[in-house]
Amino acid sequence: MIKISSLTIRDFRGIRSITLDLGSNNFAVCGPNGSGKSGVVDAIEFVLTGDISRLAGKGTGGLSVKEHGPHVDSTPEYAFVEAEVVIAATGKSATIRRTVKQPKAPMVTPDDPSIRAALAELAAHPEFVLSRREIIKFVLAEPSARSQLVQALLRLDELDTVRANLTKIANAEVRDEKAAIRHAADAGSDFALALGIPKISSAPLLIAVNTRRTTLGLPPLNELTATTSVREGLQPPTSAAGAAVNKTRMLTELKSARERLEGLATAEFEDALSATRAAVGTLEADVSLLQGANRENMLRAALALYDDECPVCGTEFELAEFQTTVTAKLAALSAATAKRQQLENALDPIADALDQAALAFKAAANWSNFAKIPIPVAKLAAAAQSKAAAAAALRKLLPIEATKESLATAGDISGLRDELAHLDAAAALLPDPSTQDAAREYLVIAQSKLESWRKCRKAEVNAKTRAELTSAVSATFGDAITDGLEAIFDAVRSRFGALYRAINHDGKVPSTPASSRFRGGWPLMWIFTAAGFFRQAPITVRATKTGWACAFT
Amino acid sequence: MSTAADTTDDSDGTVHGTSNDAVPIVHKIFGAFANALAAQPDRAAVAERLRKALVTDGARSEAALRAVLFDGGDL
Repeated sequence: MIKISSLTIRDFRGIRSITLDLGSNNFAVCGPNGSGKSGVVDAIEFVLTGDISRLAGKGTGGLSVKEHGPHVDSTPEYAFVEAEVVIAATGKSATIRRTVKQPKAPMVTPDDPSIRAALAELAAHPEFVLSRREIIKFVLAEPSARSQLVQALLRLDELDTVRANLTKIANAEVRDEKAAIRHAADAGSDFALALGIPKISSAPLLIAVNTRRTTLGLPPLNELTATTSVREGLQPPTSAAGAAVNKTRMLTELKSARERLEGLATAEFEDALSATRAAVGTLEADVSLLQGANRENMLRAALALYDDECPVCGTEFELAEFQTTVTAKLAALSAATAKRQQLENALDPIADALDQAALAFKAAANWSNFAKIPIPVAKLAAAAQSKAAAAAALRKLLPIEATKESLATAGDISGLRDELAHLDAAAALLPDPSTQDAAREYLVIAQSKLESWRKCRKAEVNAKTRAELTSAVSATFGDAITDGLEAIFDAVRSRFGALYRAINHDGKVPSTPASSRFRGGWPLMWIFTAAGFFRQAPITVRATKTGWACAFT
Repeated sequence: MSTAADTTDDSDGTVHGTSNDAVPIVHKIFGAFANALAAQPDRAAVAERLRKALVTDGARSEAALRAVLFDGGDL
């Protein structure tokens, strides 16, 4: 903290010439309107920072220190403020003199680097001067704005920097988690497809694998652990299997493709499509609900994509303000949220079926060039792409037109059976592999797919852990900021109330236009300074219109 | 948390500061945050890393915070 021993003001603001012996104590200046109380406050701020905050900012109409700093009958050359100060932490004394002509070039005697460092810190935190408007705004703040107000008043930028970065990290990890879940599901589906089983489950997997192992004279596996190798004990082939082995793989993948295809043609799948089409129609018919769902979708995306500014309009927002605004808007859309979640639950299994079909169709289409004459698979290849795109659209839900189109074409399998039949015919022409060759190839492929699936599952678990951790850290940090700043707000407001009552003598304004001293500290700023933030600052409160002003050292 | 402990009241209502070198507000909030995080299951280690990084090392950037969150070997 800087204590001011004396203050000399010449031709500055409304003051011609005055020297105040403050003795490094607290003091107040009292007097009628226009007597120059604010000039003393301005002088303290000016000599320490080179600026006068109430001449800057909104609503000041282009006022400047050089034009409006000097007394009306003087010029910048003659207007100056000089202060004798003591740095409380070091005990060092110095004289600081600053002219309006060169406000950013103070003369410091002795020219001690630590004194200049203290001045530089003050210039970076000029909030030690509080206007009447700022004080009233602080006292009357709504509960939801308190923590933000304290943060802005104290310029606790570090808190917002950390909070914004923790939020960014959490948002990124949640996005990565979703991608990892999808990759693991795809790898699992690919694994099941290669094994020719409906889904990844220990029992059917062991049955399928042990059937081949028995054929090869290998001991059966009793359980499937995290390190199990389904091809354990398998020896390299003694002869080239060639096309014979390919036939096994081809038949397996064609069989899976056919099963996925027929799955899209079942009455059960058609019923699910009909039900969701009806639900989507209901949503579309209710204009306000659809608008709500669209708006909710946009707001959720905005929350996830926040990056120091609104991702929609580019307006710079502080994180807390942005979250508060968007969350309040989301709360007002609860009906749309409920409807959206209900529809998403109904669409998920359809999207899963389409994803699995897309994977199987793609694998089948890859056999097109196996024969000497390419087998036409244009519809299978197109279906692989369109089913995957439809699944993605259903998972997004909005825009609603894309969901409707996806539901309309989800069950379309026209032409696919014919292309699969052509591939089957080509496979039939291949020489049959020996039972042992087929079993060997099956285990090799199964192990390869198993390892891919394990890798994706591990990544999924890791991503989930990271997302949970970062979300918890981000939320806890936000709560800590709010709790901490609101505690400061409550304490400061309580102290300020006591100060206000003391100054006004139970509501009465002091009538004597003279300087006087207060015995005690000043609660509002004592709390801020004692908390360590205004370490270099004297305490300055802007003049009021009630006949008194105060500044403290 | 409270900052009111840094001031005392006389019986006549006069307020006196008791310390000019108290812990900065940001450090108090970082400390409260670390305490709250440490109270959660399995978060004690990362809470202490964050406390050290924020209070002692002055970590503020996204890269620095990422390193603290993920490089502790507990993930």
